[in-house]
Amino acid sequence: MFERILPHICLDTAVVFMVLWVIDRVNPAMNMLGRDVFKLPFGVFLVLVFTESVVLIVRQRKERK
Amino acid sequence: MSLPLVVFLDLLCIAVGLNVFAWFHHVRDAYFPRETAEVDPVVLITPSPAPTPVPESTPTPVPEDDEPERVYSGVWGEKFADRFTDGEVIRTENSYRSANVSVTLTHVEREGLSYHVADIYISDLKYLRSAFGEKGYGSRSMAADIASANDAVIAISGDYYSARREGIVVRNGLLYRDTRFEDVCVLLGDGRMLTLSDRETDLEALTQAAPWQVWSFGPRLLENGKAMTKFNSAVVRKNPRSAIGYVEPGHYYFVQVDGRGAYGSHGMTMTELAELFESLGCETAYNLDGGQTAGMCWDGELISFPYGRSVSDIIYITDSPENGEG
Repeated sequence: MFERILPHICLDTAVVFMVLWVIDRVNPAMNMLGRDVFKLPFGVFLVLVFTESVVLIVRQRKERK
Repeated sequence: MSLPLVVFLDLLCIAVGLNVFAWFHHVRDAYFPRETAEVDPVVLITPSPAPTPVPESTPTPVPEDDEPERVYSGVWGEKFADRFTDGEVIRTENSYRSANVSVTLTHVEREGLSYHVADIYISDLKYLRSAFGEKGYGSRSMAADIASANDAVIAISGDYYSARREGIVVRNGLLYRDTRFEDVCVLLGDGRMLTLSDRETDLEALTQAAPWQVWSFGPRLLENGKAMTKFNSAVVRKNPRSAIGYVEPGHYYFVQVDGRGAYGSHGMTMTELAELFESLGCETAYNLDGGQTAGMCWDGELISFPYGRSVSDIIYITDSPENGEG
């Protein structure tokens, strides 16, 4: 179940961060990427992407065997 | 699970994620302000930078039927004598005159645009001040509440310094923060106002110049009194605006522009704002935080479109500087 949901969580979170990045570029005064409220979800996002990558690599290696 | 349903659920998650972020980023603090950290500001200039001059010689007695010699208050009291009164306060619907302050408010309305211009003369720099939210540095309050608490004759929203960690903050001669952020507006102790681009801002020299106020938002709008055509900002389209202009020491302008459809006004582009300040005869002018932050208060009442966003600071003119911060 987790393996099926994980790519969607990564995808959705990536889109959220892309939107925030665009807003920050358009209006730097909003400081979308510089405040503490950004740092925690971004850290979680990094962990999720790392986990998803490991899961994908392991699965690919299993499929090759 | 069908593909359209999966896509729908993903989009739903993205929307929820963005709204949760927006709540924590800038909605929560507006409705549930948190306690602010104590900051020990550095004194750059005394709160009354230009003391009232004392007449050098003892006035000679004058015959009773002659008018007594007028004593001007403040360093610019004589220069702008025709703008000030002998001591009485004359207040009308759109003007305020006293011995030290003269403000004339103009509301311009034309198709697709509504804005206010305040023409300001002061006899001494201490009558042009900044104020933070009601709990001090770092806090946020409604602009009208801050204006009322500081006896502001007229006030506009400031640079919203608390939305960022960067940007030099000097208010009423006190240095609160000295990090770099975009273009800078400096109001010096002698009443001159300078606008500096991000590249030419020397923080050390700036603090040594003993500024009375420094705002960090921008962009700067005029170059040698002429409207600039390129701005250090990505938000140059039509927008609600708040800005300050400088003609000469003691003579300033506040401008606030409604936008986003409020009162039928769609706001001003940065070019239009710069051209407005050029037409007012300003030497320098500086854009402050706009959008939903932009607001102007007259006699403690919000006269711009009431967006309802709390702000971290205002710039204001007062006849009672002793009641202000700093």
